Amino acid sequence: MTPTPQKETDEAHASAFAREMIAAGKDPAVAAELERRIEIVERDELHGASRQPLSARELAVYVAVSVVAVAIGALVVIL
Amino acid sequence: MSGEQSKLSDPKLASEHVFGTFPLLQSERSWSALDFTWVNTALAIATWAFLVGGSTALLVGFEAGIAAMLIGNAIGLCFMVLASVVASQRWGSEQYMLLRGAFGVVGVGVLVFTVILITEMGWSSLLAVMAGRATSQVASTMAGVDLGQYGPVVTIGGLVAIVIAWWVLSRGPVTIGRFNAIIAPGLAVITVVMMVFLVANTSWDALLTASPIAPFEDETLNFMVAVEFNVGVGVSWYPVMGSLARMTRTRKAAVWPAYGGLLIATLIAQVVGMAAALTLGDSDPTVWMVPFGGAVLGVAVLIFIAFANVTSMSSIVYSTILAIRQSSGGLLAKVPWKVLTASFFVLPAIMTFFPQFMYEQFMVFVSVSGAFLTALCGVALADYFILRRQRIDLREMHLAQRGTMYAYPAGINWAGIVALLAGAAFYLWLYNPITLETQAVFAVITASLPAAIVAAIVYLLLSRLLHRRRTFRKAD
Repeated sequence: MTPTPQKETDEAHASAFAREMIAAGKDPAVAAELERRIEIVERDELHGASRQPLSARELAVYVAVSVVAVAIGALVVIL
Repeated sequence: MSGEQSKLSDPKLASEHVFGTFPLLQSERSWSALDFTWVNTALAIATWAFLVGGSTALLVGFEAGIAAMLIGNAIGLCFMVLASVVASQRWGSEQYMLLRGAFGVVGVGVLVFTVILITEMGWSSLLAVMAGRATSQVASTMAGVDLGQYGPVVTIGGLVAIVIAWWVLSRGPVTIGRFNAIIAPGLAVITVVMMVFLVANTSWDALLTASPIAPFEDETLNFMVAVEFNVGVGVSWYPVMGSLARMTRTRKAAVWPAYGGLLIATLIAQVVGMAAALTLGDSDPTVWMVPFGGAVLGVAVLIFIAFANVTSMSSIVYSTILAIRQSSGGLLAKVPWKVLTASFFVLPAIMTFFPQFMYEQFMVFVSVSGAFLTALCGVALADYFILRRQRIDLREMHLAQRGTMYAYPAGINWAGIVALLAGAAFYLWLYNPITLETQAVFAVITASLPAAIVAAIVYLLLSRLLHRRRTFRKAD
């Protein structure tokens, strides 16, 4: 199979990353494993729900729940 | 053996995996929402919650105390969870790695070796003293003599607790998890038992009409200081939550168990501590458990509490040592785990010789550490959600000074450091927990939330000013 230009670019980038990590004192095996993991995380980030950014709706619900908790506390004091 | 585990059969990789900085893969993130709820419950119903409840009772009565604890924890946990759990869960990395953009790799090290280390050493000292007090009470009951609340047996018990905590910690996270699986449900049961004992030995009327123990003259100020204290308790989870949240499978399994689990479990335990303090004058169950529960049950509960303090210590110290190891720039990477963990306990061991000081300065300690942690959360939130719009580059994050996106002169992002100091200074100007001086506006806006906002604004302004040509976000 012929690698795509994007794939070749990714591999070149990944290798450069591993080289930099080794130059910074990381063990080569550890640098290679780190690189492998980051590649997987980046793939998951594109498709996996757990790697998606927090949406505005999720943030709004979360903050609203906190506001409700504070309001309940305030009501306890007022009443 | 799973695929990922077999890839980590190399001892170096396995060690880096357990104690290092590898981002966790989806197949390794095993905690469901229920699992994470139990982990948070185990942490929240630790015995420190009784002291928080008791300290709240110094200022306010039962109903106002519940309100203050609910409001304070809701606010503190709200921005603590957003600042640590969200990003750590998404990227599978602990929060200190993800702070490199905000503070720089050396800046994170400075924070870890100052704010985080001092905070966690303080909590560990407190837990050790509490375990020592439980030991002393058990010994008093067995020997039939009063050994005192701050006598030498407290120190001996505290030191023994530290040695056991170090042993548990030196075995790694699996052992800590096994102990927590026993401790969490046990503490939940014991908390209910203690509440039953309290109500049986006093009355609801006495509880509802009890006056605060040592309030200021101004009722509004009492309430706001109590709220502020509980906000500090909420944000005090920051040093450990990111490291834990990265173990969860989904965001829902991370965010809601962290927020709801900590909020509900903390409140239950704090209410017991407050009820005890209001009706008996002492929130510490090590003081009243034997007189109320009888020798056998009381001693059994106290032994369990002492043990629970040991596991709580192990849990919080584990995350801290990971952070220290990763923030040392390779200096401590080769130091054996057992030596590193033992080094951490030196100061808490010294503090066990001053048990009264630890108890009496508890509120001051929580509030001052809260001043810095709320500002830290403010900077982290501004960095991740506003400046970087939740887009980070993991390769650059790991490259740090060897990359471009998160490299700063001398490894320090002064925008983050100055913003943190500005936020903390603003907090201490609004409310100084040492001198107890407050500004008039404190009674309306408290100190933590404005301090976090000030830190966030200063950080964003300085980032635009100091790093005009910098790319903050990873390209899509």
